[in-house]
Amino acid sequence: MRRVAVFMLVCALGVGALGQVTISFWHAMSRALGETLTELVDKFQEENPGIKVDLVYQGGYSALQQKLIAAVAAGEPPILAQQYQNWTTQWLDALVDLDLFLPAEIQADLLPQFDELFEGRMVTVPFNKSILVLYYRPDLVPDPPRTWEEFESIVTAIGKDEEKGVYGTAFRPPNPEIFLTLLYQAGGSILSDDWSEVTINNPAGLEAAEFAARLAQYALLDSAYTSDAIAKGIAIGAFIDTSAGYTYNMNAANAAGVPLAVAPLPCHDGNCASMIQGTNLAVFAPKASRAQIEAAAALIAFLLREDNIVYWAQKTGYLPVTRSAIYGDLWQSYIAGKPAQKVMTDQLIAGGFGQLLHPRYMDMRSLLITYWELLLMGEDTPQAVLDALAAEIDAIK
Amino acid sequence: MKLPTLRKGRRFWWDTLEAYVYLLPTLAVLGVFTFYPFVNAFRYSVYDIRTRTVPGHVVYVTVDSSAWATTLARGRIPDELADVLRKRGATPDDLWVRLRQADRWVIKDEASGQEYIIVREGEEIRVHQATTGWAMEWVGWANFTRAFRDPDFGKALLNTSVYVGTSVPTTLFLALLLATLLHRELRGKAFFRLASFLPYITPVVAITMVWAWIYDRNFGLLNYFLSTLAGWFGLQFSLINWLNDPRYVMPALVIMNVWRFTGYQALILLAGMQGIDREYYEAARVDGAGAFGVWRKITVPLLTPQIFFLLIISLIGSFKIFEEVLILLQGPGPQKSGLTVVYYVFTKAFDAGHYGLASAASVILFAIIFALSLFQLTVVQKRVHYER
Repeated sequence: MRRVAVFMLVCALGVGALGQVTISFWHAMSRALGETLTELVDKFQEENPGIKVDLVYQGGYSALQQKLIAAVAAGEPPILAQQYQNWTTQWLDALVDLDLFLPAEIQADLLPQFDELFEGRMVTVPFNKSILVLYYRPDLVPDPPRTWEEFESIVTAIGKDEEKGVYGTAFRPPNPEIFLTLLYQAGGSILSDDWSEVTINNPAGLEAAEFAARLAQYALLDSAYTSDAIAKGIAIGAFIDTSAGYTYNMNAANAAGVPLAVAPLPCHDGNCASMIQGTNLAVFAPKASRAQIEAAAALIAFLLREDNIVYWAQKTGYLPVTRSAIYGDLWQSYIAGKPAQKVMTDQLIAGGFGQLLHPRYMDMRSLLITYWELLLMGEDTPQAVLDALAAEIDAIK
Repeated sequence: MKLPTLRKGRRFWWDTLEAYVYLLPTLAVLGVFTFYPFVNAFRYSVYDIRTRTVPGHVVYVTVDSSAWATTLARGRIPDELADVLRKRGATPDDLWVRLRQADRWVIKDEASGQEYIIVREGEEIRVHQATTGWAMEWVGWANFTRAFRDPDFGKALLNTSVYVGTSVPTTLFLALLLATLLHRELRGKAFFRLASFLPYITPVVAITMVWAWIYDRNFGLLNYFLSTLAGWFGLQFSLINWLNDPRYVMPALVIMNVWRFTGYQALILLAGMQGIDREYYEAARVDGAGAFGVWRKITVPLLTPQIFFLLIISLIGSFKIFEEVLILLQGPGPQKSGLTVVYYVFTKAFDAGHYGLASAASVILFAIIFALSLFQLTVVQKRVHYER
């Protein structure tokens, strides 16, 4: 911690001596999230008077992505930006290797779940991360399911009544991360370890696909967020959703006057894998001076500092991404009285896994969305869906 | 005989210049936002475009690869490289490593902003001047082949064709009926004319947001209206999932846009109807023609110039359907049932970064619209009756 403080002090003095350094920081954090980010950035600027941060809210994630694409193409990217890992591969060459600028202590402090290298480079660090957990209605599901079998029997028992608006579970077709979670829990993967073979249609993949297809018969299938359906009074027994949706789901349940609780994901043969969601931070090099890159690195270090990342997590519902924060007293005492946040934390530590860092993952995800939807709609047999998906992934891998 | 002179007077050139000065702002806007992108779409369609650090000319070659690699891997500049770049005007303290891989490194000269890429090939290391940005690599027809092989593009073409094939004639037919009604003497005619035009002048975003609510499965106005109607006739009605059932997505888009454009088209047709000489109607009545006969044999044929104009305009406009999909469906819709060609272009360019593919798809769309417009101008126009 002392080394981090010294690093930040040196950065502050360094840039202070040369005059104020301005860095632009593009993000997609709206409402309360945006306010908390602004609060933290203001605090950073107070501590580092030599650095001015132009915090720019760019709209939702899609808008941010589109603006980043245009800005990078125009050669005018911001210095610092939030970005999903699958966007990163598009402009990998334009990014700075952060391990050259971040103190080793901070790099070592990141949870192993976030140990992510793109083509051998550390170009992003985790920031606002969440994990998939199970949301359930205690009045409909007194004991949350712990296994796939229990989950299926609960979903089947509640069934599906479209007229009354009652569903055993819910799936979002644009969210294939749920399928990937089931796939990993079944012991499957998209590609083999060396990326030479497509493995998604192996027996493990088929097991996951068949399980999802069975659940889908009793599921609300809607591309809108599930909280929208809950707010409209639609009853859903138990569904998998990101921990970042906690506030939205709870607010929707409160608005509808129904109870909602959080439980760990049902596991398969003891495998409780859960896919990590959320964005990272990356620094763009082409237009940046070294002082700006150092200032951006100082801001990243500040945001990852235990007190700040815990404050961020408490205010936003995201999870701390460093060992010092997640195991530290600040966070542990906070979640001691909050069962939902404790579940999310345990889920991240025990089963969190990240995205496949393949250069064509963005296109693969697009295919995953297409075929995940076909699977949910029951358009074809799970094996046929997986085989077609595997063939398409094979063509681009 | 005195031949007309080709030589123009000074007055003519001043008038021409003056006209161009007035046109300049419009030409500038059109040039930047229409013509330049239009030409570039053709150019981009034959390139693979990515953000890359592209090597330029070679600055230095060495065989001392392992020593360089070790130093660069630590994020430091090898002394030999610092010397080389010093001779090129760089100050060693201004050089820093920003990208390092096993066989590829990028360093930047802080003072000049110049980047250098160092590439290891076997025992040899080459130092190149480099630029990072949009790099275009010629791929010929590959983007077009890729588009035609992409099932999503096929689906987008099919969906767009279905949309155009249903919404254009439906809108035109309803507009013709509405114009006929508005042409009659009726109370509150001015109000109905204004009301029918309102959807056209209301921003599409606002319209689509309202229709998203109208189409809501459980609480939407349309399902409420249909279930009430079914109730009156004692029929069973199961709520239609307009925006989440692939069977109803396209009808939902068509209904919304028919509603949006009918009023506008009706006013154009109404203007045409008012321009038809009354003598034709009087002559027909003298000959004993009925109201429908007059409408079919006189009004419609004499409206063909307006109908033809609307047909071309609405055909082109319908092929470009985009905002409605983006806002109403927040995506391509269930099973991509709402995926249209422009939405495909948009997502390929701005979500996936495949600019070449997106440009190729837009060129294909242009070719289709161009061919159809040409067909209309050559074949369909022969059936247009111009009043003489």
